[in-house]
Order: sequence, then C-alpha cells, then structure tokens
Amino acid sequence: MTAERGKAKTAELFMTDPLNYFDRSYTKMHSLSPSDRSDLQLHALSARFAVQVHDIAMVGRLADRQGITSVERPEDIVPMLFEHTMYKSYPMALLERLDFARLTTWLGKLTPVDVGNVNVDRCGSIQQWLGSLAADTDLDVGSSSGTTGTMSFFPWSKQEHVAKAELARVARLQEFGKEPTQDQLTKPYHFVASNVGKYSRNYFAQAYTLGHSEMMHMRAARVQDVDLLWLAARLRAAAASGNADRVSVPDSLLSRRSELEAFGVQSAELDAVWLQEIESLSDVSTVWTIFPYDLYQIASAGLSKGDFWKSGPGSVMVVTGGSKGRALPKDWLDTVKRFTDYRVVTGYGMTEASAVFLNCSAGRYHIPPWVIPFSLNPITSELQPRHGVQRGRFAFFDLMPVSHWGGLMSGDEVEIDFDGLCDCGATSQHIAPDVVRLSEARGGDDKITCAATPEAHAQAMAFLTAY
Amino acid sequence: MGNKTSAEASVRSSALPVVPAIIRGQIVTDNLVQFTGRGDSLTFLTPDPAVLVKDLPLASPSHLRDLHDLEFEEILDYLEELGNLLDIDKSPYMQWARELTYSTSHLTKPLIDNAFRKVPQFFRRERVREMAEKTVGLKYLNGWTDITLANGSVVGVRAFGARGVHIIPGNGPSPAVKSIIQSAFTRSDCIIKTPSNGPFMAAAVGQVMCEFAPEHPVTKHLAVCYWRGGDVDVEQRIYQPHKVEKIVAYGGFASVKHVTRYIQPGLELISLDPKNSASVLDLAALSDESSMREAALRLAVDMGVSNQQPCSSARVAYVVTHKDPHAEALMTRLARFTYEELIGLPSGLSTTPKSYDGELRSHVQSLRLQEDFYTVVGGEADEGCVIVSHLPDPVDFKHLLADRTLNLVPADSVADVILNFDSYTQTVGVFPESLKDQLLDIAPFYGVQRFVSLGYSGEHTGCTPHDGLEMERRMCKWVINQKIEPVPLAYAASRDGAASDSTAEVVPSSLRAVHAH
Repeated sequence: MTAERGKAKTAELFMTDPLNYFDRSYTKMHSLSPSDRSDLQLHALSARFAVQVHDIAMVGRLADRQGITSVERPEDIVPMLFEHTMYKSYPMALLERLDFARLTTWLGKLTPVDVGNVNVDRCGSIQQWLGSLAADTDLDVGSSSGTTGTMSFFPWSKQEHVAKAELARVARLQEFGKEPTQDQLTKPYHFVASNVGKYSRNYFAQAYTLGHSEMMHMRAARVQDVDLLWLAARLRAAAASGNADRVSVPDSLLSRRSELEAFGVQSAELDAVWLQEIESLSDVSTVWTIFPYDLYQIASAGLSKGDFWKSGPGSVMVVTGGSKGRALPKDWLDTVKRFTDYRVVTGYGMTEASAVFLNCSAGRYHIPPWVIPFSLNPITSELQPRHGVQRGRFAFFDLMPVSHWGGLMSGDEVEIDFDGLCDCGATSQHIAPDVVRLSEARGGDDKITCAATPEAHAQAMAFLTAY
Repeated sequence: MGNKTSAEASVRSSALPVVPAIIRGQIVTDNLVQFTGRGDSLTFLTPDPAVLVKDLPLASPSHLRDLHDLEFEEILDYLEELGNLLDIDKSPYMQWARELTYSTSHLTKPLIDNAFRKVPQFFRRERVREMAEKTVGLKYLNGWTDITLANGSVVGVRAFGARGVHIIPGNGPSPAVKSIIQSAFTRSDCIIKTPSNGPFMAAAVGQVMCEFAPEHPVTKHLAVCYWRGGDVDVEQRIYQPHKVEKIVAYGGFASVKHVTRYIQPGLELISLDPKNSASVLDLAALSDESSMREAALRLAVDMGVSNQQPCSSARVAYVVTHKDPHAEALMTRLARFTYEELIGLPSGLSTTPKSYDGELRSHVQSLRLQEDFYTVVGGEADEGCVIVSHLPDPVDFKHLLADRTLNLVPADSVADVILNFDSYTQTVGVFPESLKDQLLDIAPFYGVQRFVSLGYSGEHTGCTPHDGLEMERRMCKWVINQKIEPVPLAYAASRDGAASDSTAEVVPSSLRAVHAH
C-alpha cells in the first residue's frame, strides 16, 4: 500500500512538474527506461482521468457516451480522445455576432477553470474577450485561425505557459547526451522570433532572456492582432466563395480593414530593420524560433548577397511549423546550412501539446515521456498496435496540462517507433521526419469530381490572384 | 504527383489493369506505362501518352466532313446499336470497367451496378433526338435554317461540329457516355482525357465502338487517352487552336488549372465548375405527421442519392421557421424522420458509404458533444447522419458535407435563406412547390442555377442548360449565311454631285450605302 502511494506521488510529480522531476536535464527526460515510463504514464493517466472526468464538462459528457468509468490500460483512453476540431466546435456565428457570453459558456465546458465570473459585457473584439478571460481567471487562452476563416480557442493556464516555456528552454538549449551547462541553466539568451504570438512575447521571451527586454528581437512585420488575423482569414474565405462583398464579421472589425492593408505596405520596411538588428547577434548566445519558409527566405536572400551569419556560443535555430502553403524547396535546410553555422534543430509540435518534439542527431522527432502517443488507422481512426513501427493518424495524451483535457487526435499522419531504440541513444519513443497532413496524405492527384471543396476554392483563388 | 514509370518489361507478369487508349477506331495497348495516383489505391497501365499525342488531334478540320455527311437518323442508328451493345449483362468490356470501378470508386457495389445498368438508356433513339432538339435544335444541327429580320433580310444559321477535348470527372460511368453522345449529335470530334480516379468507362465504350463499327465516322471521331493533368509535353501539343477549338472541363479548378495557360482566341474553354446544392423547406407545410414524413422522404432522397457524391446532392437544408417557437423540436423530429428514411432507401439509390471522410467525422464527433448548438441524429456507425443547427447558421465545415451527412438549418424567412447561396450553389430542391414562387426570380442572382421539386435533385434530363450555361450549343461552331436580294446599284458616275458626304446622315456599312433609289 505504501509502495503504491509512493508510486502515485512519484507519478504526480512526473506529470505536474516534469521540469524538476527530470532535474532540468533534457538527457534525463529522454533516458527513462521503457518499463519505468509505462508505469509512470499509466499511474498518471488514471489519475488525470479520475479527476478530469468530473472537472471538465465535455470529458464527463464523452465518458457518459462512451461508457468509460476508469482507465486501467493506456488504450482505455482512446475512446476518450478529443477530435482536434473540438476547440473550434462552437458555431462561428457567435464570433460574427460578438456573442462572447455564449462563447465563454462553450469554453467553460472544455476546462476545469471556472469562467462563470468572467465579465464579457464590454467585450467588443476577440482580443478583448481573451483579455477578460486572462484578467479574471488563471487562463491565457490561445487562438489560431484556419484557412476557411474558422478560429480555434485553446485553454492553457498562465502557470502552464511558464512551465512550457521553461521546458522549451531545456529542450532547445541542451543537447541529448550532454550534461546541462551552467549557462544553459541560468544565463540569459538573446531571443529571435518570426512567429510572434503572445506566447512568444510573454512566456518564451521571459524563459530565454530572463527578463532582459533588450534581448528580445521579435519580427514586427507580422500581424499579431488576433482580430485582424481573423479578418484576413474571413476576407480570404469570402473571396474564395465568390462573395467578396459578403464578409461575415462585425462592422467594427470590417472597418479595420485598412490596418491590414497598411501592414502589407509596411512589412518590407519593418523586416529590413529587424534583419539588421539580428544580423549583429553573431557573437552572443541566441535562440531563434522561426518557420521554415521564413528562415529559408532569409538564408537565400543572404546567400545571394554573399553573406554568412556566424553564431555566438551555444546558439541554436529551432525551426517548427509547416510551409504554410508556400513552396519550400526540398533542400531548404542545405541552403540554411550554407548561410550560417548555427546549430539548426527542427521540431514537430502543435499548440495543443506541452512540448515540441525535437529532431535528434539521427533525424527523429522525440516524444517526451509525459506525452503518451497513439497511432490510429488514418481512415477509420481505430487504434493500431502500440508496439513496433506504425504509420497512422497521430493521437496522444499529454499528461502535463491541468487546464484542459490532454487527449487529442491530431490531423497529422506520422510514423511512430514505439519501442525501437533510437540511434541517437535516447530511450524515448520517436517519430519519423515525414509528417504530413491527413488530408494531403489521402488526397489523390489528378482526381476530378464535380462537387466543390473549400480547398479547391482556396487553391483556385491563390492561382487566379497569382497571375 | 502521379508517377509514370516504364513498365514494358513487367507488363506480362503484372496483375495491374491495362487501360487501352482509343485512337479513332483503333484499340491501342502498345508502349504501356504505369500511372499511380498519390495516396490512391489505383495503379494502372496505359499507352504512353507522350507517344500517342501525335495521333490524338484530328489531322485537319476538314476531316469533320464525314460526320456532316451523315443523316441524323444514321447517327441515331449508330448510338442506339451502341447502347444495346453496352448492356452490362452482355458486354465483357462493360463488365471489365465495372469490376475495376468496384475497387477504385468511392461508391458501393449496388450503386455502381445501378449506374452501369442505366447506361443503355442514355443511347435510346428518342432520348438522343430529344436532347439534340432541346439543347441545340435539330434544324440548326441538320442543315441551314433561315431567320428573317425586320428589314426583310434573311440569314441562314447552322451549327457545325467542332474539335473538342473533354476533361471528364471520375464520378461514375455517365460523364464519358455524355461526352460521346453530345459529340455525336453535334457532329463533333471528341478527345476524352480521362481522370486518374476513373479511366475505365470511356475506354470500355471506345473498345465496343472500335469492334462493332471501326470505320463508322462516329467511331473515327473518338479518341480516349489518359495523361496526367498538367503534363506539358502532351498538353502543349494538343491545346492549340489549329488542333482543337473547344475544351470542355468538368471539375473546375482541378482540371482547368492546367488548361488556362493555353486559352487564346480560337480555343474556347467551357468550364463546368464544381458546385454544391441545397434544399429549402417551409416549416408551415410540415404541420402534420404525414406531410413531415413526405418532406423527410424527399429530403432523404436528395441527400442520399448516389451517396451524396454528385454536385446536385443536397448538403444543407434550410427550414423556413417563420420564428415558430417550436421550430427546434420540429426540426429535430424532421431530422429523425429523414434519418429513418435515409436508412430505408433502396440500395440502387443509396447505401451506407464505402468509407466515411475522416476530417468530416472529426467535425461531426466534436459537434455531437455541443448540445447547446447542435443535435446530431445517427452517424454512430459512419452510415450518415443529420445535424440540426440550433442557431440560424450552417455548420462551419459545410463544404465538407459528404457521405450522407446533411445539415438542417433554421431560417426566419425565405429572404434569410437566400443570403446563404453563393456562386458555388447549383441545385436547390424546394418543398412545398408553392415556396418556389419566393425563390425563382431572386435566388439566381445569388448563384442558384437549378430549381427542382424536393426529391428530384438527381433527375438530370440532359435536355436543358446545365451549370448556368448551354454547353451543347457552345460545343458547336455557329456559322451564318447572310442572303441579300439583289438591289439596283448607283455607280460612281451616276452619283454625280449626290455624294455630298453629308455628315448628318448615317451611312450603311455595306452595299446598301450605294444602292439606287
């Protein structure tokens, strides 16, 4: 009994505070023995389920529907995984009508945090709503805008953001197999970011620069305003449906259209200033987080001028995110490596996970042990075996978050090695580098049907306006 | 991207299907290469289009003459006999195409069986005659027709055939059949570019034609070939105004993206956009159980037909509630009835889908828990479902609705419904019939192209405009002959002094300017 209680306590620390459980060591995080990992994961998973089935309304509702009352094995959680569309499952008309009271109710069913007392009366924009949520609760809700103009909202707490950023610092600065240095643990680093959402600005910047705001180098030529981002997506969607004059957004937002246009005009200038600023960071320790396309653009433009960017001690460029619909040459990374001697690490991540899975020396994305991976049949979403190498729809249960349900089925198709040891020496489970969107993997080439799809519209628009 | 690999060596031992090309009376199976669609189960062997391309276009437009020498009745004779030979119970070619369609189509066996069984009907003499008459007009197709203008002048008009490329879609056997019949009655030359998701049907019909009448002009004016859309080596050698005059492209962007660069004066693109369709019902007409049952059955047919694959299938159904306070409960009842009728539809009309779209399932599963906003009826086993919106808005993923997934959406008034239509709306099914009065003259401005009585979205007559245009008329070259009676002429010498060149008078741009009074 005591041994059991001890295990439970260990599992509790493992899932709520992985940073300290692993002594802030990236190597330790990825050196857990498979049997220890399984034990910890199962303990933590059962505990999470037992609490959140009561605390999160949607989890309780799903458990009722699925008839799940407890979790004895990892696979028991599979019927309880949320679809990735869950976080945009409210009717978008609520946003169009600025109905933040109902949106708050909707969000409240996805988090154990009480949002009942959030004052939304004076919210006239998404930004203001997210601001009210942050002011009145522990949440700092993230948002992302889809290509068809939908917007998803994802609840993370402020404390979790801080923990995520510190985990990111550990993972990005350290290299597997090497003891963390004092610099890596305690020294401020310069922080360069081209994806400048509020998390980068508020949490990641703090974790790297340790409060030295002069060490933040954020790309200004990116729209950061969440309402403007949504407006841009809605304008694109309206144009694609042939109704450019019928954009369903509040008038107050539509009137800000000129700000978007102004952004387009200023962006080259702002970028020139930013590039000049970061070019000078050649002898100081610097962390970059950047989209592949942005980095490729900087590198190819630099190379054509004959530039070479030297890196300061311990510096690293972390490249995450897809090509965002832009054409990225296959050898983009070679171009980058000809341009700079930075250590370049690519990562596979999503807003819904507590950590980005970073690429190792053997070219594999490593899953931290507090994330339990599952591979699902890409067509039926049924569970595939949890051993050997499996290619399928990526699903996972992230044990760390308390502010939302950690179980999610992603929209990606990946190859997971569940039990093979990686050539890099890490014992953690790992994913092959070729991650594709499910919709891309299953789409055919040169297939023609007469029924319209939004992708076809969007592609057609991009094509027509490119001429 | 589709991959082409030389497969000459492995052909004999390979189990891959060989899809012949059809070149003007000849069945071609030489120079086979292998094509694989990305993420696609279908891999097949077909003659290398790069080798065939030189034989695809008609050598000279004057070679269309043989078609124009045919009597119309001879064309009907040919098509009727062809139709009989395409009987699925008798034709090994059709059986071959059907067998391969089973494994590659998204449709289920009963639906494919029905689609193949239907094929001979399209070729029936009276049907083809009616199509030709109603879409173009027999008098224009079969000779010169005079029209007399107010000033007494007479103009002869005739619809000549042209040389066309048809980029057909892969949904079922009918697109290939339609192109062949339209080309025959317009006396046009027809090159069919088949899609990677359905290259068999056109090849099967072509083979039957080559066997039963290899020298017949209609056979001589059909070529069928697969190449990967966008293959520049092939396309730049075909899409030239001196090779073809018309490109009929189904599937909108997917097919035209490769074509637009070749469009120039003399080469016309007839583009049939991808569309979506809807239904409109008046809640006031569903006041008793029997009328609600009737509406539900009609709706089930329009959403279920061919498993919602066609562009004309209903995906969103708007219910005009007139602010009825019980609307939500009534619509949920309508949804239950519709679901029950859907499950009971005949298998030749609709079945449980072969597979259910994963992205769509993801959305539906998320909505299922959003009971404040939606009620989902059915769909637990990927068999199809009806989603009732509680707010007056379609689901945000409405363009993904497929595999028998319908969204019922309340609207206060007909005017509110119309605002939901856009340039991608094709068919609107209406119940009750009287509701059409409020739609017919307004909804077309918002994009609607076709109204039907609810339950008939799948009934395409072939005798009317389609997708907002008259494609059969556009497939023709319209030639005119202006005939002017001789008039007495005023020669220069006789107009001495008369040619005052007064700028106050309008001078005709023809010989009329100088005829004697």
